[in-house]
Amino acid sequence: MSNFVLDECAYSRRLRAQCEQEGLATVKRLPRALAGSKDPELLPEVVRAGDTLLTYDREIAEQNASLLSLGHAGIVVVRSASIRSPLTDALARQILRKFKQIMPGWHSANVTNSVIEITQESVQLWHAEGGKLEQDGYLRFDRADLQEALLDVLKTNSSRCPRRLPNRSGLS
Amino acid sequence: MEQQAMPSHRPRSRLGLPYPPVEIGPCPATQKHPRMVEWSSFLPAQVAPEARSPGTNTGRETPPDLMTWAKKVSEEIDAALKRSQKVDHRLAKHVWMVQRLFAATDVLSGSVTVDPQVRGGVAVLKGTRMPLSQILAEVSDDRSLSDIAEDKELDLGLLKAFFGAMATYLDRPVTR
Repeated sequence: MSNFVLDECAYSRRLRAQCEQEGLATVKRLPRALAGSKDPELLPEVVRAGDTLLTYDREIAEQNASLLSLGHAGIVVVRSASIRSPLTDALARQILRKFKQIMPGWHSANVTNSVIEITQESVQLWHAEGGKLEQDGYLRFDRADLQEALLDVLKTNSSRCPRRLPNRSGLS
Repeated sequence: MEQQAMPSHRPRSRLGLPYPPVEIGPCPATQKHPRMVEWSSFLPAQVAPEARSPGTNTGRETPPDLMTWAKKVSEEIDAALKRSQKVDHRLAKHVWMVQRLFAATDVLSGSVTVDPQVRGGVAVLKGTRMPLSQILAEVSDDRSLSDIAEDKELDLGLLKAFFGAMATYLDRPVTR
């Protein structure tokens, strides 16, 4: 079962309850000790805990790519692709629901070292290398081989960094 | 109180307050911080020169001399009203707006954080990583503040303070 930690912006009791109901992943809130924390303080804690970060923050990975270059358990960014519709919790839940329908085995995919941005219509993937984000792919949901292509990139990324990530520890 | 010569096109203070005919330009400090309030934008053209205090504030704080000026003028207006004297309503209105804006800014500075290292510099609710833009988006999605606060485990009082202060802050006409 995958372990997700929700950034404060992405945290919602409803989202957590929904995920718990599905029973496919463990979802928790960012520890209160990290409330209001700076991005460079937050990321090492999340990396140390070995949790996948779910956030609405589009910039966190790019601005802190150097912190991610040594390996991390994955960052999932939910974003609205529409220039007129701002991202809300309801829209984020809708985006995630759609993505899970397209990728039913998503909860068991290895997202280590991948930065995954999911919108209403596509998924984009990056990995951090040499302090920068390198794009791995832009996959539209209408693509026929979406699952294979996505899993292919995830597999490549998870094997990029030899460093063994810790098992869940610090965050609770 | 000594009256100063006023150009004919400027209203004259009936209180005899210092009312020098100076044009107040953009605050040097706010030029450095263009995202911050340009204090001069809502002031009457004849604001006392001591209120300008160039270089004495960072643009992120209330200019202290302007606040002092507004307080002093406000007290004099109040005193004049108590004595049933006529007051310069235009000046009184501007002073009231200055004080109101100061109050709103005080609340905003206590409820908002802008730090380039927190959420990439997006304005967030103080002490959290929750962008204010997202809270506005949630409200536009027909959610109540109490629902947002409960669902996202945020301080409802802080949310209310932010919205109240923003309402005050935005309620100011353009000075002509």
